[in-house]
Amino acid sequence: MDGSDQRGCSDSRISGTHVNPGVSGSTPHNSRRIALIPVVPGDAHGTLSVSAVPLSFWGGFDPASGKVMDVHHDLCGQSLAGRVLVMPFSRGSSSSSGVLLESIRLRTCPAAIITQTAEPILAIASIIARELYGRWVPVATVSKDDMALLQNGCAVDVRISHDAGEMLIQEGT
Amino acid sequence: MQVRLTEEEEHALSGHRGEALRLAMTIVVELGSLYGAERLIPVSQAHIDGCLYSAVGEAGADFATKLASLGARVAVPTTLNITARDILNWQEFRIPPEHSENSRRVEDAYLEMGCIPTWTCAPYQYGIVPRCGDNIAWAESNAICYANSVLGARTNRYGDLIDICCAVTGKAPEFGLHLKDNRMGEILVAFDVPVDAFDDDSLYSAAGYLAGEVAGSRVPVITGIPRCASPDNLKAFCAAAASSGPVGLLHILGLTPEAPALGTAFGGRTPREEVRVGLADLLAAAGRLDAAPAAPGGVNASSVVPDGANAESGKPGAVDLVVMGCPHASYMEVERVARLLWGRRVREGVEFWVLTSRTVAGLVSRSGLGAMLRDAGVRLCCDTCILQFPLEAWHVASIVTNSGKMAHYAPSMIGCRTYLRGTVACVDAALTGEVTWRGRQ
Repeated sequence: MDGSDQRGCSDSRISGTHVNPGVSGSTPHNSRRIALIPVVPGDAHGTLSVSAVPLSFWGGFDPASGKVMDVHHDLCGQSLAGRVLVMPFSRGSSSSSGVLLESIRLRTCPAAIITQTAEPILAIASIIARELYGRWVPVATVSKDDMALLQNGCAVDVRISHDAGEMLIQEGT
Repeated sequence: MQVRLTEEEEHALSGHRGEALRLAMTIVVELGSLYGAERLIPVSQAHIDGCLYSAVGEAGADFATKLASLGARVAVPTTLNITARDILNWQEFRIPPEHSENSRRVEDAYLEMGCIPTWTCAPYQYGIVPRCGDNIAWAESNAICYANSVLGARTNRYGDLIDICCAVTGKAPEFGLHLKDNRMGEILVAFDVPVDAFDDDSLYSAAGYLAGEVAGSRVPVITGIPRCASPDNLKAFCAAAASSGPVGLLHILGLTPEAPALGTAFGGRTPREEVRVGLADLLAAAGRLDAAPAAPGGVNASSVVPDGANAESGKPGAVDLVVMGCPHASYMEVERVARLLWGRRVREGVEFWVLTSRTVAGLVSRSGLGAMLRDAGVRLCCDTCILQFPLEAWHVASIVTNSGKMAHYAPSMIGCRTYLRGTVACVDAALTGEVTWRGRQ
């Protein structure tokens, strides 16, 4: 238990009528689908860490531990390692690219980052990590309405190709 | 999206002009491709933030040394942001030798590539200053915001390591804030605050912090900021806005070049949202920057009961480090500290550090202020920032600063109680060892 909101993922608001057309391919019967707009392609699986507060990776995240350290942030003290991080946008330091890159090197990085607007600072770490280490953090954007449906603690699969993306939320997680 | 490249750019990308240029060009083109840029554009200069070992770590060191060892050279004038130590006086600041050595490795890689050793986060004051309308590739959030907003130059919020790729190629992908259409205001933030409230210069920081919170990822147009705001006031404003939000560009009516009138700033469009800010809101924002470190277990700052100076108790709080110069202090800011201190000494047991560039330190030394400040007990810390090297040896429990940016980051990064106060109150705290609550309001 990490203190995050664990309201469960079978919220009735996540229903077929809210689901936007995603990438082609079948959706497993017991999951719901949210459309994503690709920024950095890649696939990921993880548990959602959702916050309405933007995060600066520099000064707000410790790449050695993978934990949020920004005292102004509601996820402060929680680990983002292997999590699918959802927030409206990033903020603050341009050194965030470097911090995120270092966390990719140390394998303490989020599994994927989903925002409403994804500025280059987030994408740059992934572009360079792919060149240096052959692994990276997929990045995509999500609509404000769909973001409101995402809850802490849900297990999700993220699939982002060059021209489409989707998040599959596993029911009952 | 395919970025259309010139023949020369294609040559660089294919490796015909060397592996270093191929690597840098690959990354620039990839960024352009992800963000839908149709082409690359020349930049007149670059500012590098990736030279900071304490941020980029071994990954950033790997990348810089790889580029340098491949023979990369910058193609445009390229200034350097702060590094992780005072290069000449790291021992005075009790920086561990290992940390200093790690920092040096990264510094050397960037110098080898032909960057200019400015080592400052305020390159727009003592560096290579771009013209209005110039396309540039700058990193460092405060410098980006200042260059776009106050100077009218054009840069995206470039992060560590893409900065050097743009410098080596001399190019940036044309998207975002390089394009005029994306530079128009989207939200109006109207300050309705008595002009003399800004006599407390930390309220420029608080105003910027609030504007960044409100604007989020939108371009704000700000009204009600005193016309007499100095470049240093605007520096504080931009730095705070780029801390609370991802603000790369803001317009201040009557003060910044793209906002001579509201209509111009909004590109003829009507703002979709208007936010009015009164003195109480501004003081509340300043109050949010008086923060405690996170308690064990990650409790939010706001939930921690303040143990120091606050309006409720009226009690002063003890302070053991006064820190000014975030972003790096200008000559005028250092001079103001010297004038306020004139003839007096910093209280025993209190440290007073002014962060600045080696360039300003040189001016301070030659003007005679350097000796005066040293005698008063003020240390000039050059090339770096106190958030970039271990402070354990100083046992800092609480700091006071006139910078909203410093106040935002210090509780998380140093783990100390932090107070935001104006320059006068900061100097007073250095003399008394105590910071008083904001009594005026």
